Amino acid sequence: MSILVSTLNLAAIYSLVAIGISLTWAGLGFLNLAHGVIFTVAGYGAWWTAEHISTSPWIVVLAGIAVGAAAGAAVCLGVYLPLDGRRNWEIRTLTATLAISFLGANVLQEAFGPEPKQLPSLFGSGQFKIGDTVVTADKSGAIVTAVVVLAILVVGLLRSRVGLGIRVLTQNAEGAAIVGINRRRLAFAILAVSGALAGLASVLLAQVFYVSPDSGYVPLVTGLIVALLGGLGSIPGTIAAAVLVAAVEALTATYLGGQYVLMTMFLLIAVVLLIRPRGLGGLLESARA
Amino acid sequence: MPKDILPKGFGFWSAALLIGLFLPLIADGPGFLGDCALFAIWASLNVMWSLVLGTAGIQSFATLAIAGASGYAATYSSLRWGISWPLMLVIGTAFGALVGLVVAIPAIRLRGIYFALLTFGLAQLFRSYTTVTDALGGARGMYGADSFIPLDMIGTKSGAMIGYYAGFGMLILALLIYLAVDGGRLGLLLRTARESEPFARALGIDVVRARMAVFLVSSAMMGFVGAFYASYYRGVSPSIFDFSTLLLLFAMIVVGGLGSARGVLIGTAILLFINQHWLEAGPARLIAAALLMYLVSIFTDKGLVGIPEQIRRWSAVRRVRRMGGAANPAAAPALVGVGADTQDRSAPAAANVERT
Repeated sequence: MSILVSTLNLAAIYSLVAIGISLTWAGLGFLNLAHGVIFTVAGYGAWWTAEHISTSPWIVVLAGIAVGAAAGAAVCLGVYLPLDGRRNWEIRTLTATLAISFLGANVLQEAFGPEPKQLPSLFGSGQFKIGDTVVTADKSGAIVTAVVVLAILVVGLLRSRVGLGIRVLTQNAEGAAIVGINRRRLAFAILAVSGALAGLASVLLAQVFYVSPDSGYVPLVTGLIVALLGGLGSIPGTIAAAVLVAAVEALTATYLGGQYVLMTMFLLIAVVLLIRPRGLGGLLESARA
Repeated sequence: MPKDILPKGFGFWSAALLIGLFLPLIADGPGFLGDCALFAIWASLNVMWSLVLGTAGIQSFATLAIAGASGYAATYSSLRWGISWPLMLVIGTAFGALVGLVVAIPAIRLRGIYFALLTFGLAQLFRSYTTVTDALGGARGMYGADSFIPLDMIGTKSGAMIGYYAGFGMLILALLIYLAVDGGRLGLLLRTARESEPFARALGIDVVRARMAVFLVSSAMMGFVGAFYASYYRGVSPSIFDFSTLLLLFAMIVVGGLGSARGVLIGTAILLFINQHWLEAGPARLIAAALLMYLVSIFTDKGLVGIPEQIRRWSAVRRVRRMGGAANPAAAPALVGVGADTQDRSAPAAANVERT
């Protein structure tokens, strides 16, 4: 039972991070390696707000989301727009986002120092029991928040005009251009939404782990794994992959020990990718090579 | 002076060779020579990596995994069976080829970014495996292997000299392999397959075999470099599999210019200089390196060595525009014979279609 709870908790946070990576790849065609630093910057934004403005949970969460969205938009301005349509675009976006991720981590370290920052508790310290398992408020709060936000995201993608544009873009960029969808304008929406989701994940994760300059690396790597495993661009695939990865992580940590997590996770990737070379979602079989 | 008689790049390479041969006579601090040996190790790895990444267009990140595993194999066999350093190099090479073969098999099924992820994970896997395995020294690593630098010369000037010239020799070997593969028939086949796989197949090129061949050759050399590393430092530790080291190597390749040996050497030299020389500057040097990486990727399309070509292309477009050719700027490069390229800035509409 406790394994189930930690699986859901991890899966909630992983899917928030991975969906941003997945949407960016499918819609705009680049792998955003700066996603980890967006995550960290949002965590610092929330921490700064809690220190200087207010410790009210709503304001802290909103600050994290807003800073994450702003950081995502900054990546759009600094990487996507200057490089869109240029030569050697793939390798250059990869390098530029990688550079930003280095830059961000080191600038944050210079500005705020290496020691981790603690965010105020968002969900209080209450807990309840299911059977004989104790579920703490931060875990259940993270799960509920993530599920609600993901539901809003899915409804937004299905119902809103921007969501429609994004879905068209992920399926066929050329077709999207023909029916008059402005990819550069949508890029802002995609990167800002991705950043906002990363910001939310950052605030939720900061309930357990503190915010530090390089706290974005692990979410970035796990997010990449989940996004690719899920099949880039497929939201159901991403959520399934997040649950799978989180289950493997929780099971390994419980029965084998934390230091084996990377090994079992890698074996999982190898097995899944060898059976389904395009990930679980597999929707992009022909759309993008 | 008839310029065309000499082969292309003759000036650069002969200058590099001369500097490489005589550098220790001018600057001979042991610290500096040590940095040079490290340069030779990283540059050899990068040259081999750019063969896979650039010439073949395979998105492999297995470089450090292969080199590190071979380093471990060499160190382990030296400690366990007491073999000497020439045999360590042989074992490293063989082990590198073996790991390369195992890694290359999934490559037949996986494409692009998925293969990148798998190979990315490989280094992490090796890192956690070596950290938790006591037989391989655990987190502290294994030290005490045989070395081509005799024990009594460690820390002396002559020891540093041996390390320097050994590294220099290895770098030349790596460059010769690069030249043979990239400039030879295999390179031509690989580039054809990289640009269009269906076209290459239609020509009758055995794409899988060509890719396997380049992967095996480069992996064997990476294994050699790994064993050299182990022998030079008398051992290895799990930190060789570090994510940040891998990213640093990647940055070296792209800053200099992917797809040219000259660019790889220049990029390696610049980033290694920033990394080693300004150690006391702390995070500021990492910020400088990251800024350099960012600017290079935004403003150049083929790294630092691609700048002259980029300027030529740009000025050619401008010249045509001044002549009144602005009505159709996309045709400008073709007009002056620099090579028609639709992915230029002057043709964003065409580029959008191109990318899908």
